[in-house]
Amino acid sequence: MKQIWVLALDSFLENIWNRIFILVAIFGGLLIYTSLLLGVLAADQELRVLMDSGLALIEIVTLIAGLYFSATLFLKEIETKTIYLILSRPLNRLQYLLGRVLGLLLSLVLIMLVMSGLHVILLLLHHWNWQDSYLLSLLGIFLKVLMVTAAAVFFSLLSTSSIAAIVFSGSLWTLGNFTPEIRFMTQKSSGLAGVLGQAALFLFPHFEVLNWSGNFNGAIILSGASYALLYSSVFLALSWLILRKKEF
Amino acid sequence: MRSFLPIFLSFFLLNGFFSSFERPISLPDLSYSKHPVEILAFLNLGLRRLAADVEMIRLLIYYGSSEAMADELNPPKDAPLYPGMFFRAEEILNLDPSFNYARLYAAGALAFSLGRPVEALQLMKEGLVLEPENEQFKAYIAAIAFSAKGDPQKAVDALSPYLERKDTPSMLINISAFIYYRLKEMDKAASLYRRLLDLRNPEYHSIAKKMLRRIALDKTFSPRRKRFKR
Repeated sequence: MKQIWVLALDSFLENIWNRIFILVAIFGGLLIYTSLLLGVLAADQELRVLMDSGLALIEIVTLIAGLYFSATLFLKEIETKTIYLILSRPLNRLQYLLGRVLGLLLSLVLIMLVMSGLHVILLLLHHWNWQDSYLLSLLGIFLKVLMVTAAAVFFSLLSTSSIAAIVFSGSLWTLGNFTPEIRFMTQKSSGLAGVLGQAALFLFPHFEVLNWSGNFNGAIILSGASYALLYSSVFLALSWLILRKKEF
Repeated sequence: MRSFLPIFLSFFLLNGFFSSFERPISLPDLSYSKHPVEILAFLNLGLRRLAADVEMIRLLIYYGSSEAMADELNPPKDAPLYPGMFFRAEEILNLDPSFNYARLYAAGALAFSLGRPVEALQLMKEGLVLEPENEQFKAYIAAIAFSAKGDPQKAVDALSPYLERKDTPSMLINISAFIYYRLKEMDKAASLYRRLLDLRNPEYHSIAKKMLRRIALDKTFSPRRKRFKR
């Protein structure tokens, strides 16, 4: 366990000092500023627009950071041969994988905390009353990013190309957001189109189960969170199988 | 490969099982949309609510622009003002059916400003199908019907219990206040204009101030006039 924490902390610190983190912070700040402008245009619905655009930006920026970090995480260490040094220590490959992924997730949590802190300040300045559902929205965003990040780790190890990993997992993100519509179209279609649509529903993630902005209860949240954790675990298990067989 | 197989299998089963928790959502009708590609991009990113927000902002700009500019389709002379109002509202509500403000705003504008109660009723009836217990929707339907029959007093009385609500558009408060003013119910009109001043939306602040001054003047001078007449 100690080895995992050491690696996690190392990844976390490395990501913080990475230029992309600073860029992401500036980008997030600028985009939240843009959401303020949108809020002014929305007249009576300023708070709603501020809330929606802020959460959307938090989601997109965290996703971009997650995709970049996870797609380059192992490949950079393989390229720079740092992985030889790490794996020559008393550390198995599962611990290595978990440590690195944990560090990555800690970085993403920090990014989200910084941006959501800024967002909450903006909302409070606009006379928003705190709602616990805000935290649930953030949790939903984090779980979605977790799923895509786990997939990106898998794709980066499978394809050994960070661009391919970003493209594959980015596509998974897009399709995962589109599954309710795919389900609707599948119900309306028959034959091969219907079968393909059904197959897509078995393959693509279902982010709709993590959208808790409307009606929700404990069971919905629990089932959504367990789905996200199981989905990510499957991709991490697959990543571990690849990493275990990889020869450096 | 043998170790991959059970993981893949469990993955498909897990995904298939959890997909059943998902509600099917219809694709919005983009045939009248001015920005279908943009809306699809929003949907692909999972930003359905934000897409509705952006379209609402566009609707506000459309309704706020001059009538000649707003007639983007170059309709014939007898065409109604803001012909796209209903379809734009439908598009927003397709994206986010729970966006009640958009429904109330568009229905209010269509019924009380543009004189198109049929389209306004259509919007409100669709809302009532989604939320059959919504008393505010029922009151709006009643108000639209009274207004179409030429009874502004009953229309505004039907609306008045809901004018204090947060999701009531300022535009509707302004219209109601003006109806009260025309009906010489100055206290009710003044109360609504004061409410407009309390709202963060500055759009109607200047109108509200002007009308409050006018109400104050009316209150001051009308009894004297009566005395003169005697």
